[in-house]
Amino acid sequence: MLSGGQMTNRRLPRSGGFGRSGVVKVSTLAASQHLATVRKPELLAPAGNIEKLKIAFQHGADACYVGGTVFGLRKFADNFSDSELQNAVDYANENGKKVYVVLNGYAHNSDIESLAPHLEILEKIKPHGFIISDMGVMQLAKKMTTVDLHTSTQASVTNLYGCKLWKNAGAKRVILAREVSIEDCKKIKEVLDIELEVFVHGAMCASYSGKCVISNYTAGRDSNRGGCIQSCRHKYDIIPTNPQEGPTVTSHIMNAKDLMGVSLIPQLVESGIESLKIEGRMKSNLYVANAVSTYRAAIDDYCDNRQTSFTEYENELKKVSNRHFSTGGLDHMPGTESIYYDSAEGTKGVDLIGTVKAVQGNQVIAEIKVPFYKDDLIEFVSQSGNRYQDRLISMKNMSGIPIEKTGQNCLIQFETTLPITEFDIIRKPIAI
Amino acid sequence: MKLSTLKLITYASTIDQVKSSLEAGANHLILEDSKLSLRPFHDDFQTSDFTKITLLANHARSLSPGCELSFNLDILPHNHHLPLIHQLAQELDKAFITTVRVQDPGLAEWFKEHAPHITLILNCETGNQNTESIRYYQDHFKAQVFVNDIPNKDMQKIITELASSAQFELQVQGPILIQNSPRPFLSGLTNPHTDSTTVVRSQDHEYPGRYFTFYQNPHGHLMYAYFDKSLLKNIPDLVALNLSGWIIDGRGYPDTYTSTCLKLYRALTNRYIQNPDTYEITSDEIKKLDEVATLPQKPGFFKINQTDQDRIKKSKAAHSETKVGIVVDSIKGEWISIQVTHPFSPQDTLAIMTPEGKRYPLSIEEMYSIWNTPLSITDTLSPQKNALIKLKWQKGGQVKSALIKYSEIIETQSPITAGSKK
Repeated sequence: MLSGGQMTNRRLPRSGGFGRSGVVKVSTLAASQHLATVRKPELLAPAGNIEKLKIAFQHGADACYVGGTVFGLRKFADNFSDSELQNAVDYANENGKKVYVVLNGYAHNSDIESLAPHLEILEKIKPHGFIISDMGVMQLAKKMTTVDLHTSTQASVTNLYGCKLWKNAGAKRVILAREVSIEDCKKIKEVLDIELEVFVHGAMCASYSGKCVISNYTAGRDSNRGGCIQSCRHKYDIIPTNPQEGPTVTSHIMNAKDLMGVSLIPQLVESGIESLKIEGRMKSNLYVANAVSTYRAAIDDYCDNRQTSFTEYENELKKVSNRHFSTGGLDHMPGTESIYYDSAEGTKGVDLIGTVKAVQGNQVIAEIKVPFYKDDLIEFVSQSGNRYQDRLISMKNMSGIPIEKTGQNCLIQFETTLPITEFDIIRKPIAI
Repeated sequence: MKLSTLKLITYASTIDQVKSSLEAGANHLILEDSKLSLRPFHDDFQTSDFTKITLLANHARSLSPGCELSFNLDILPHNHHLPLIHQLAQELDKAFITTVRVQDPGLAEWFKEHAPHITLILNCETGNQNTESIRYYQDHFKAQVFVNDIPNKDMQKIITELASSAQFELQVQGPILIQNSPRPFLSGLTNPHTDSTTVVRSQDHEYPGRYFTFYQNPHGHLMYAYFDKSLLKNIPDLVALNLSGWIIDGRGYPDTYTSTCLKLYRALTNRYIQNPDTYEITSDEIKKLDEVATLPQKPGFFKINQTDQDRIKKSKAAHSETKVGIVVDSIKGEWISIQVTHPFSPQDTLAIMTPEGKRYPLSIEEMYSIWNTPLSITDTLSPQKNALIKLKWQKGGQVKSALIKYSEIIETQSPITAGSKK
């Protein structure tokens, strides 16, 4: 049982409930001076599997992007079988959410041959959009399906005319290159009627996405067909062409810091950008829950309450494993400040412990990824926006045997009086 | 053999490069100005106009009146570059240059609006590697440069499938660009290689012994492969493709590299066309290339591209069976707990597949909810109703093993045997 008396109930400042997107009237004087209404942008989350999709939705995402078994870019994510995709779309429809399927590899002719039958299946599943970087794939999808088409960031669209080209080719939405600033998004919106989407959080390619084939030429893995080995995270010797220019230097020279755009939420919302995207289909349940709930809160609190201080949100996002942060290209072209030269190792303030899988009365069953002791201080990331800290008094394995320490990759059962629900995340602060 | 006219194309940023390239036999010069050209290995950033292009064009025409000229606008332009492109278009009119090469296909829309008399050639560098994509861009571009990832066989197929009017070029020689970033990586090092334009060698600790070229200019950072693409030994294949132009890229190398390559490709192709039956490349010709090259010379993906083939096989296999659950807890000899991910009936033909790929037949005699309530084995289970279930422990039931339901299609395959690895 959790000792409720020691519970810390810290709530991220947020409002609203499940399904919070839509038009919000802003009644403050300051707001009415420049915009009578603001449309909450869609919060778009990664989902490497069906559980992460449910976690993302329950923690406040409006839409998720997922990979099928054919032709996504994240070969090492779990990815969705056709039946899992159907489940995901059904689940989204039941909850007023959306699911976009990524088909964002660059296709060779052999890929196109396998893609056509897959599109026939997807047309029956009816996801809410395809994310596509290849013009041939877009034309095929336009011809074979009725699904909305979104141009992937892999297409490296950096300007108004790129947006025009893809719109004319059939795109309803363009996911701009991560190097495009919010100001440039506004300029595009001023003259072109097209939905825009930008990344606001997560790991970033050091290169223009889609313009890197290092893996192809070093490891035989196609960067643009799901095989990227992340050569940009490697350590390199930098050898001057002229020895007089100095000694060889060793550095993680292309190791881009992660993107964090939460402090730019006001500008993002005011720009009229339709969708704000979180990267990370291969990331953990904790990452998905933490990022989604934090951005959900930040968007809601700006739109509903005109909150403009985001320090608490930034601190929350920094707790989960990251490579330090920059604002990427959202407010200016990324420079040397956007590179973490010293190491490819991540930093974090909490460890993922597990995910709540089932709740019945006061009984909770959780899937544990990282072992912990009964007396350890743990924290629940609740989909209500709350963060609860406490220590378990007792816990059992699935044979009902009391245990002092959990295993790894197992289920445990415990009691609590806290308002824990399915898909809440358990994490543990790292002792400093 | 198909090639009727051999057009050799190369890059030029200076008067000297114009002269040496034309003297060595280039038919087409791609003129560059670093303000809008991504990687000329020449610095024009201090100038505010494009008058250099007119000077280069005039000089080229004075040396070779019939030579073709184009301009390389291959940066990925952001909105703030658009006024500069206006400026360029005006200068191109003065220089009587009517062909522009672009990496960003979106620029087709810009030229349609602002300079519709300009014809465009698309060189995407990446992507645009299937028939459908190239077919779409045919309406916007006079010619397209095949990306380096397309093998010869695929190029043949694309050329065959598209109309005979399609024009294609290919880089046959020179460094291969493998990364394009706007970030000035080198500027952040403590060792000050911080000039606006910098070239260094680099070695990836994961792949020792391979030396990559890093080139930084105000557009950002460019990385090149550890070898040069060279199709000098593949002249018969190149001739058979009947391309409209062969590109020899000597940017970043001494002008002798470009001129030597131009002469070699011309001489070998002429010899092959004159007598294909007796044609062969000599060791002296290979030696001539080696003398001017500083990196290994390789065909890249021209012969074959097998990157990520295992992924394609995996996706084909995935369609013959359905994963309906995943083992999330296992207490040996007692219980396994399963996360149901797809509807199934305990009556279905089921197997447990371990993370290593071993398969064990699974029969369900009794099952329970995660709260230990007995469930009927005649029920259909679904992720919505029965997200978690418990079964008596069975062999193969380790955490992360998958519960597989075989579809009817699988009946033609080998029967499942205990521990069989598929």
